[in-house]
Amino acid sequence: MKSTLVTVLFLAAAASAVQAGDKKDKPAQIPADYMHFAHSWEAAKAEAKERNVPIQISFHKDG
Amino acid sequence: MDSTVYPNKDVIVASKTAVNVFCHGEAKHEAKKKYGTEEWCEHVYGLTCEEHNAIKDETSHLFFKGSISCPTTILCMPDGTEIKRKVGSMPNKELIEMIKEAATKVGPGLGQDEYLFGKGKLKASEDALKAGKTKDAIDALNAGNKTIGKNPAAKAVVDQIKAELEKLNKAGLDLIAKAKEDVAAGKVDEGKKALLEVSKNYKTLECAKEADKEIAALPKAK
Repeated sequence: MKSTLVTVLFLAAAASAVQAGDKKDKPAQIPADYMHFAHSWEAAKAEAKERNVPIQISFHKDG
Repeated sequence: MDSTVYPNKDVIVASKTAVNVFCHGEAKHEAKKKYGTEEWCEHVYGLTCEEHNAIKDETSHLFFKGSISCPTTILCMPDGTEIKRKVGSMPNKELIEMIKEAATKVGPGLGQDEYLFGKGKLKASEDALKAGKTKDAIDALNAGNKTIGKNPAAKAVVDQIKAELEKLNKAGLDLIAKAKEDVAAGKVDEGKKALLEVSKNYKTLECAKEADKEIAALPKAK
């Protein structure tokens, strides 16, 4: 009984480790719930060039 | 607009086909909102108020003469040339359409998640090398290449990954050349140790195969 429990726990841990390994090497949804913004205009242009995508720039104020 | 449109899931998905820049010259809002363990401006994930103020100062003269109408959304080519602008708030669908239209004009491009994944692997490799972990550095680069290597839109990032792998292969070949010199000078054990290191740490690169050949050709111990 005890050895069965240990085996089940071991297999669960192993399966979880395999899943974690799989997730590690796939593009993650970064960030999942927020839009991602560039940290400077030059960084935005460099990234847009590397990715061949447009730049969306927006201007805001409080209120 | 930033508090209603940007958190929308469909807008977030569309935003991943562009690079997004948020400009805001004021800081009357909450400057330190908690996002998990991080603290950023309440309006934007990942930016501090100092950053969005600086970006506004850096870019406003490029797109406005005189006063700035807020909110204004502008879509640009990768070099910053304006494609289209909309002054005033707009519903989610309109922003998504604007981004889609611009992405098609520039297109085909690399999605943000794949880009960050590839760049993350390059950074992981750099960090591993700094820590003296050559095998981990090569593994990180191989993982990046395996995942995005076949995507034509990822060419710029994949080229960087391949260049790093080539640099490491060259470093491995240099170690082999040094090991061969040691063997020729009679320091067989020292040379063999270096060759075994290359075989183990540079696995998957050409230089590891070369190291294996050299190990097989070493004089047999009597």
